[in-house]
Amino acid sequence: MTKLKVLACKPTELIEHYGMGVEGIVDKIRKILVRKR
Amino acid sequence: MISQSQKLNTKLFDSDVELVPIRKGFGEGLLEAGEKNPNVVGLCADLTESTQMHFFANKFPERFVQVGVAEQNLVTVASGMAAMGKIPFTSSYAMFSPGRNWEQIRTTACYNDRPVKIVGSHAGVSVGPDGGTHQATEDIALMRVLPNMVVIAPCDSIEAKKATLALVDNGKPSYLRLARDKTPVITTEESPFEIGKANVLWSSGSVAVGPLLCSGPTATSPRVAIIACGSLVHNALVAARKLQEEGIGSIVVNNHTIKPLDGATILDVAKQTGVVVTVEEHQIAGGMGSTVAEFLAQNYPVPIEFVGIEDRYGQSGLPTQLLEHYHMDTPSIILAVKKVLSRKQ
Repeated sequence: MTKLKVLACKPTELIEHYGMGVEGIVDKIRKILVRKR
Repeated sequence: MISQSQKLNTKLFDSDVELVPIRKGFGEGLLEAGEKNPNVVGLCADLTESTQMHFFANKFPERFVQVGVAEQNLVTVASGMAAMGKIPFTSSYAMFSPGRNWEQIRTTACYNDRPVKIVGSHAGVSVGPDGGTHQATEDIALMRVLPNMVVIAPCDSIEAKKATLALVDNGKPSYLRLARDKTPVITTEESPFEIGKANVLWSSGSVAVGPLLCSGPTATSPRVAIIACGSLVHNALVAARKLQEEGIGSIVVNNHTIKPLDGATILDVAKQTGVVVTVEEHQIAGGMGSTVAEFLAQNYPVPIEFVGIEDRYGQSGLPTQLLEHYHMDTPSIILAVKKVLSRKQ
């Protein structure tokens, strides 16, 4: 989870912070593929 | 077989088992909590006797606030009192609180992480003749979605009393779900209760379940886990006994704390049996079964059948008629068990 730097964040920062950005989705995909093995 | 360590009511399966409304345990628990802790206060929205808060109100009139038919104020005032160090218990029908005042619960209690206790009585269709407008079947979903919130659905009046006393000290916004109708007393004063710790009440055969050792004949090992909460725990136990007679072994879990979920116990019984049936007097969508399903999907996916209300509203009727109509009675649980077992192969 990324650290928020300011109080009034941009929507993109918030999406990323809560793990719903591209990086968060990719992390989940990696995790579930590991479980598939 | 009944788990010996749970010290359950020995008349559990008898026709003359004691019947007591779950809400009564809350009334007794709040009175005792008030005697033990001067910071406990009570607030009600014009349903003091129905929600059994009158015991507390009569003994501690200076610590009781009657807000009238104003559920939004009920929670907002309670949140302010919690911010000043009080431990407020609010009560109404579940349809009105949390049904009507969800936003106030979210913003004033949960968002600020204040230890406001929302006590929703008359939950589920077993309210009976009052009909669909008064039958809260969505309240677990409304409450479990809120961050910081603890959600508890006790299985009988004795457990409701223990839950009430435990909530005094948990320091969190919490929802206590109660039923109106008289239901069988399952537990005893000696039965263990801990917020966040599910109890294995029944296990066919002699099987170690976590720290518990269940005793009994070993002929039928458990093939299915029945995870129940609230007043339907008794139906789940009756179903387990009937299934045992048919040669189908099972484990019955009293999952009284829906949030935070006791993942260790859920995982344990899922691994032992490989299939799960969840039982609750609530919409299937978003309820206790959904919580279990979300957890197992991420940790140990197994086939699950859900006993609950299938995307419909309630209606007027006798509690027994309604449980049968909405497929939450004992035969429906047995049917769900057989269905999930057929998916096991």
